[in-house]
This record gives sequence, structure tokens and C-alpha cells, in this order.
Amino acid sequence: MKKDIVAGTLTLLIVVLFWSRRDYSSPLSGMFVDPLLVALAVLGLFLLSRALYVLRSERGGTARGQGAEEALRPMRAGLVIAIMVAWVLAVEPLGFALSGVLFFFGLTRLMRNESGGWRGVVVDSGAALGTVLVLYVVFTEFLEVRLPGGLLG
Amino acid sequence: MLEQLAGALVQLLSPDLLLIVFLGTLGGFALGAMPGLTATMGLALLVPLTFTMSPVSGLVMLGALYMGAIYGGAFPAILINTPGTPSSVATSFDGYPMMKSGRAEQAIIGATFGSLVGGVIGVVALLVLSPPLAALALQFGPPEYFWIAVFGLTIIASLAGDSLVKGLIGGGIGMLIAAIGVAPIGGDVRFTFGITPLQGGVPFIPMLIGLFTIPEVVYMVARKRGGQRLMGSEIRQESGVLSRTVISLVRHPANAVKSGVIGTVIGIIPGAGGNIASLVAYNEAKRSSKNPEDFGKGEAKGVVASESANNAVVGGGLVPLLTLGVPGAPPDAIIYGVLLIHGLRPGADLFTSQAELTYTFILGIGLAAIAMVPIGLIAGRRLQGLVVRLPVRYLAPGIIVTTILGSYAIRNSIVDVMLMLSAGVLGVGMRLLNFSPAPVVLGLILGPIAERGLVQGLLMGSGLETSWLILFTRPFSIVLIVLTLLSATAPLLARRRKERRTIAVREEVER
Repeated sequence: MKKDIVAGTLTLLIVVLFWSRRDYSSPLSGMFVDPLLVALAVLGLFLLSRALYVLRSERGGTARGQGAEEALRPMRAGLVIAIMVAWVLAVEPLGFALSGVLFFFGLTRLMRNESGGWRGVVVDSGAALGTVLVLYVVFTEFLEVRLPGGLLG
Repeated sequence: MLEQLAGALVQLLSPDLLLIVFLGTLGGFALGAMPGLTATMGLALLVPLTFTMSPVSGLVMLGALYMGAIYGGAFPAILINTPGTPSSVATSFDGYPMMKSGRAEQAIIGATFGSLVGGVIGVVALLVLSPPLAALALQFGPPEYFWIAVFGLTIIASLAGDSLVKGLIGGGIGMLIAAIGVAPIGGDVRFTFGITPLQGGVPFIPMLIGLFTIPEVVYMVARKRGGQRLMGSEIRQESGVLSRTVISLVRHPANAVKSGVIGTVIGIIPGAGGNIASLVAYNEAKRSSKNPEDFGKGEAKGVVASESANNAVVGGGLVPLLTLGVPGAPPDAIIYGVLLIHGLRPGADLFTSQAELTYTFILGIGLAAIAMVPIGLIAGRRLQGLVVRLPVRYLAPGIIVTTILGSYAIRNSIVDVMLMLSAGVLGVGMRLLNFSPAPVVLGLILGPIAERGLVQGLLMGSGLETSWLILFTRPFSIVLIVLTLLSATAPLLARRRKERRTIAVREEVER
């Protein structure tokens, strides 16, 4: 139920955020969105109040589960997201190919349970180089997509 | 007509056209299997190549590529939970759980069979029903489009999982994200929060890639009970899975046929497209199933329904294009351009003076639907084998590289990659709070259609005493309202019936 409290609160925050940015010169622009925001606010309030009610009625009793949940390692999840953000930010300055090889290799090393020695380093760098270069060639040569060149020009 | 059809068939069976069909389907398959690269993009890339070809070769190549791309989108949806094309969203709902439970091969065979049935139904409809159905589709105005969108939104009741309220919130948030940018009717720039690139709106495909792919990668890497491989020791290497799955699908063809018909009808309605068709067909398969609770957990019927419907859209969408010059879906607009380049005008002439060319093109698409079977079963199953055996430490970064490339390639814009990543972070948060991403995607697709339909419909009715009455009084609107009510109440009634049955069984046991 704690998750529902967070979800309901976040929904209401989103509604407040969007509502505060309403600035229409034509009433037609808000004809659909305004009722949508009201509906979202009602749903958010419903979710929040229901969760609070259930939490209060269960206090002292046995808390009800919310079904099977997948357990995450929060630090690792945060680290993966941080790596992805850094990767995306590095695409333009470093170029797609260089940033791709570096981050692919870095993530592979991070996920290795055992170091694998020099052989592991060689295999991981080969996988990074091979994958990124194959995709680079497919996109630039066959599909004619211009990818950021970065340091390599 | 039969004489011209026979002539077209003879022409199609020439070695060069057969090769073109095969290469087009294979190329489309490869393109569709790359997340972010849509059938529209593939067709657009191929247009310059068709300049050098004869009209019939160029059109057959485009048709085969279109069919192959829609089919190819199913593979990443099944293997890595990333719909290769927007039409494959519903395929991932059951395809990926099947993959995780070691039944990827069965999912691929189901997708192939569904695509074949849907593709052929769409082509038959294109041949037989073109003129009358196209005229019917043109009767649809803004109020009908509004109700189509509302009808589509009732699917949330099926997609929401355990909490209908969370499903509705997800759908609302999707529609809110779709409202960012210039208002379709009023013209105001809305909710950009001062970020200039958002003025053009939030592009759909990066959102789709981010919402489905990034949470999967994060969970793949950071799951507490994660293994070295995606499947670990759970890969089921059963012999005879192909023959058993095919026999089961052939014995129960109703789901594939019904979904193919749904896809064809939705394809005929201009602007609706394969993504809506696959979601509607998926919902109908779940609604009519004896075990709706199995959907979303790895039910092969869900994969078959989605793939049959989206491949049927290929033929269905060409109905209004070839007869009235109105593209049914975005890729059809490119085919329209190629027709014009070769001096061919859609309309009655195409079926009289250019009949042989037109029928060769249509039969070529049908042949591409058949060619998908060997391509999918050979290339697709190899791909599946590779993905399940690949260590997660290579699979996860490989998926990230592909998603970055896929979102960048749409508009050559790093902003789209950032939006994809933001959608991914939103997806991770939603997953932590037990929200399903599917209603958000549904809201993203249907929000703009609903808004345009509502506002234009009310403008149409402004001459009436009560303008909103126009939404409820037109014949097709009434039909759609009835369908909406049926679709919205059916899952709720089914849930109640199931609860009552469970209580009755429990009471029986206690006695």
C-alpha cells in the first residue's frame, strides 16, 4: 500500500505541475487536456485515499502483500542508469563509435562476476569493438544514418 | 478480373520477381527486427532504389519490404521486450514472458503463423473488398475518430493488470505526454517547460523504446537473483516443438482469423494503423479466451492475435490507398508517392487499365506473407538461439547500443536519445510502483486521435443548438459507442463472474 501512496502522490504532483503551466490563447487548446487533468487528479486522489484507508485498517493486523515483486539491487540499478546517462551525454562529444566501445566495455566489466584475467579483458574488448563497429557500419553505410563523429571526426 | 489475376500470377512467378519478393521480405525482416527502425523508414530508404526499377518490380519490392518489416518487429518484442516497430507493442505482452519461461521458439512460431494468416487475410480483403469498404471508411468523421480512440482506451481494462486505477492513470499520463507541444487544433504551445525541442511534441518511437527496453536492461543487470544468461538453465530444448505448435495453431485457427479480420478492418480506416489493430485484436483474444488470466503471463494466443492483426493492416491499409488515394497507414503514404512517381493514379483506373500491374503488386504482398514462414523459421529461430545463449553482460550493453542508435536514427537527433532515456527512467519508476507501461503507450497513441476527434467534432457541431450532441447522434458513432460500452464492461463482468465462481468453489470445498 505504501507504493500506492507514492503513486497517488506522484500523480497529483504531475497534475499540479501541468495545471500550473496552462497558458492557452485559444480555448480549443485546453478543451481535451483540462478535463484529462481533472480526471487524473480524481484518479490520483482515489488511489491515495484508498491506500491510506487500507493502511489504517490494516494497522495492528497483518499487512497485505502486493503480489510477487522482483527484488532489485538499488545501488546497482542506480549505477546502471548513471552509466546510461553518461553514455548518452558522451555520444556527441566523443562520437558514437568511441563512446559506444568505451561504455560497452565498461558495462561488460562491471557485470562480470569474476575478473576473467587478461583473457576476459581481451574477450570483452573484442565483443565491444565488434558489436559497435558492426552496428556503426550497418547504420552509416546501408541505412545512410549520419552518426555523431566526435573526437574521431 | 480473373483473367487479369491469372496474368499477374504468371508475371509474379518469374524468377526475377520471385527473387525481389524474397529479398524485400528478408530486408524488411532485418529492418523491423532493429528497434526504432520502422516500416515507414525502411520504405523511405528504398524509394530511391525503386527509381531504377520497373514500376512492377519497385512496387513488389516495397510491398514485400513492408510485410517483412511488420513481421520482423515481433522478434525483438519477443526476445528482448523491445517492439521492433510500433505495431509489435502487443506482441511483447506475452511474447517476452514466453521467452523468459523458455518458450521463445513457440512464441516465434506463433508470431510466424499469425503473421502468415493475417497477411493473407489482408491481401484477400484488398483483392475482394477494396471498393465497398473504402467507401465506408470515408464516412468516418471527427466524432467517429473520437469514439475509435475511446474504444481503444477501453483496452486499458485488459492491460492494467491487478489495478484498473493504475492502468487508467497510466493511460492518462500517456495522453498528457502526447499533449506536449503544439496543440493540434488551438495551435498553442503547451507544457514544454521551457525546453525548446519539445515544441514539436514528444516523438512516439523513442518513448516506446525507452518505456519497454530500459527497465528491462536495468532489471537484467540489477536483479538480485540475476544469472549469467537471460534464460539460465531454463532453456527448454524440446524436440518437435515446431510440429506440435503448428498442429495446435492449425486446429484452432479462429483466433488468428478473427485477429486478421480485425486488423484488416482497422487498416482500412485511414490513420488507425497497425499499433491500434494489434492492441484491439489482443484485447479481443483475451476477452474471448476461456483463460483470460493467462494473458500477459506468456499466452501464445496473445502473440498470434497481435501479429495476425498487424500484418493484416498491410493489405487493409492499401484498400483506401489504391481505390481512393487515401493512405491507411504512414507506410502507405510512401507507396502512394512511388505510385505517383511512376505515373500511376489511385482509383478505378488502377483496377482497369493498370490491372495487371496492380494485381501483381497485391499478389506480391501475399507471396511475401508466405515467404515470411521460411525466413522467420530459419533466420528468426537462429536469432532466438543466439539471444538466449548470449551472456547478459554482452546482451545488456548490446541492447543499450541498439536503443541509442534506434532512437537517434529517427531524426538524427540526440534529443530523441535523451527522451528515450527519460522514458526509460520513467519506466523503471513505474515498474517499481507496480504500473504497467502498456497503458502509457496506449495513451500516447490514442491521445492525439481523441483530442483531434473531440475538438473537431465539437467545432462541427457548433452550428447545432447543443454542439456535443454531434458526438452521440451519427450512426457510426452510435455503433462505436455500443462497442465501447461492451468492451469496457466485458472484462469487469468477467472478473466479477470469476470472483463469484471462486467463492462458490471455496464454499463447496468448505462444506
